[in-house]
Amino acid sequence: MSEATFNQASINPMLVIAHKEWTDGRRNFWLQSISVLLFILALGIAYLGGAVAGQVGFTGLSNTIVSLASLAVLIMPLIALLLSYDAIIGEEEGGTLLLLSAYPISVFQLFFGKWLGRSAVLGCSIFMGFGCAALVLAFTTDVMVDELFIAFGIFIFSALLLGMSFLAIGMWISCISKSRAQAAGLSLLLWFFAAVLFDLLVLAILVLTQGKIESNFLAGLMLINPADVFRMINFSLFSDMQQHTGLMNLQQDMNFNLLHLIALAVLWVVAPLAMGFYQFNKRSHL
Amino acid sequence: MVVELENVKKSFGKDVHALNDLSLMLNEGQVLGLFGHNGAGKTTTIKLILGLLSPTQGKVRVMGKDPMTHSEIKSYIGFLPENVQFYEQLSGREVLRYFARLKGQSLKHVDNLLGRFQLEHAANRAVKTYSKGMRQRLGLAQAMLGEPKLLLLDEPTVGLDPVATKQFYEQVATLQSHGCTLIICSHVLPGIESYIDRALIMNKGRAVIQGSINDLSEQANLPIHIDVQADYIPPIIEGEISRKKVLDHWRIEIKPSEQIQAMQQLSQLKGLKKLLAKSPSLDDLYHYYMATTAGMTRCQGGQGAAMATTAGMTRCQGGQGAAKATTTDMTRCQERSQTITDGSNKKTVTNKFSLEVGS
Repeated sequence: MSEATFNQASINPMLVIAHKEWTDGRRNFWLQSISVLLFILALGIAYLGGAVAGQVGFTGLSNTIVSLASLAVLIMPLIALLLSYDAIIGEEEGGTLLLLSAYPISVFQLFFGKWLGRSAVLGCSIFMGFGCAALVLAFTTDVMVDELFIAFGIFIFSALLLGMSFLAIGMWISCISKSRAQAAGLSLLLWFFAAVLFDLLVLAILVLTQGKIESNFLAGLMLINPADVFRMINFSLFSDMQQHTGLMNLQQDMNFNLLHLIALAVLWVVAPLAMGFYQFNKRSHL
Repeated sequence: MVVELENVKKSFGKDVHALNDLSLMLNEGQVLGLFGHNGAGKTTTIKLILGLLSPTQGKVRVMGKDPMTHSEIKSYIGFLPENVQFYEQLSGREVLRYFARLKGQSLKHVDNLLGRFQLEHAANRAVKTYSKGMRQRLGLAQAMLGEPKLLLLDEPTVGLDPVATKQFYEQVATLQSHGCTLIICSHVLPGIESYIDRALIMNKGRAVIQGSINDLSEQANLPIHIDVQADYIPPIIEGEISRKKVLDHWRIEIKPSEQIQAMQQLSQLKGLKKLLAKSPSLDDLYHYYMATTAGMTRCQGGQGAAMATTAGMTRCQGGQGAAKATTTDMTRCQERSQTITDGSNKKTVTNKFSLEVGS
């Protein structure tokens, strides 16, 4: 956004707030560090992902995307929560939330301006990190360029949805927390539950009931976790991987429609955002 | 009327009564000092005026409108909250530009404001490198964006050095001359007396007293201190209440009504080296009124204590058996006759407590 546009006094406050959040993201090196981290992660997996199986070097596009998705499902929610947990509570602890409420801006503009700015930081990092990795792969491997870009395009899009949904959840946490420390604690707990514990629990149910429970039910259960929705999108697209591990076998049985999965991922962005806004609105009108 | 609060009551839940029956009228160009300890209800009052809280009872009007429903009036309000931490990673100029945009103001005035608050040399430095005083000046510059018609300043001089404090007071006077209405909240600001039209002292959500500094002085009827150094000082001066030796001179307390006679008498003394009269400061008045309400609370429990209400303040009658108020603010109790007017009745009571306020 250029300085010239901002010199007009009537610019929408939501964009002013989003621009400030974006500047914060740049000054705090969030933008740069997330981009570099994702870039290294993607290239590392592309070249060293096969090392476990005794292979070194690029072992194929599907392999790469599936491995990348398995790692992104852990790291993306963490990054998004880190980016958003203090969005509201940080402003409140600093006293600027009270100050901003004396300005002629609405609660809606403030909340969505903050969300928009932080989403832009996350979105750009994802795009630059994974995008640059795809470019490097295009130049250094013999994989078909159009295939590569379609695969990475879909992966980036789904990673964006995953990030955005945890960003929205982080904003929600920020609105219900009483302190920055509490928001950080809640975020960490939630990350641990959604990215680590949830799958183990579903697996445990599967093993303990020895398959007596409908696998449809368990697969359905996975839809309530945005991290699993992301994994399903990627695994269903790159299903030439024959050896799905753990829970993804379940998903194969279900054969979810890709569009439905994407719609669900979008819902996972919208719903926590709406809940967060509801809480924020309630909080500002005590 | 710029600010109008009519019998406003604000409670949080059943038990917390942040404000009780507060009425306040402020005209254009008036400067109000709002004084009180923490929890007195100052911030609640400000939040009500800003439309961030709705009153449980009573009416709040700002520029003739309900601030809860007319958020457009916020464009004409400047506000500096207590303890605000501006965005550390932004520069001072960026912070001001951000707030100017949010207020829909042109960015032209930003540099002007930075200059007015002596921040132009640090304008491009990150706020995290600013000293406490610089942060406070940045906050004040922020509040003055867009030439507000109403300024609400919470502890505006915290962290300011004496020069910056004086400059701030001068800004207050300039703003006032341009018709801006100001509410300055504080525990107590030394030296602010000459810049405020009215003072409102609050305690536990109630207005203890409201009026001009003169009104407050008259009602408190605190003694005048006269420092005198001479070869010989007669044992009794007209209107004398007490005296004590301070360094090389005597400090004599005189009834305010007899200060002229006392000064005349003292000025005739042989070998007079020093003669200086000091009226009670705002600080003294504040402590006096706070102690009065504190003493009141104690008196209520005392046997045979009676209450006498004067315009806006409650006072304890020193009848037989009245509890003695010995708060930290009051260093000494002494008997003194005082006339209290409560509008319809005029009566003379003996005030058993109060007077010399700890410095």
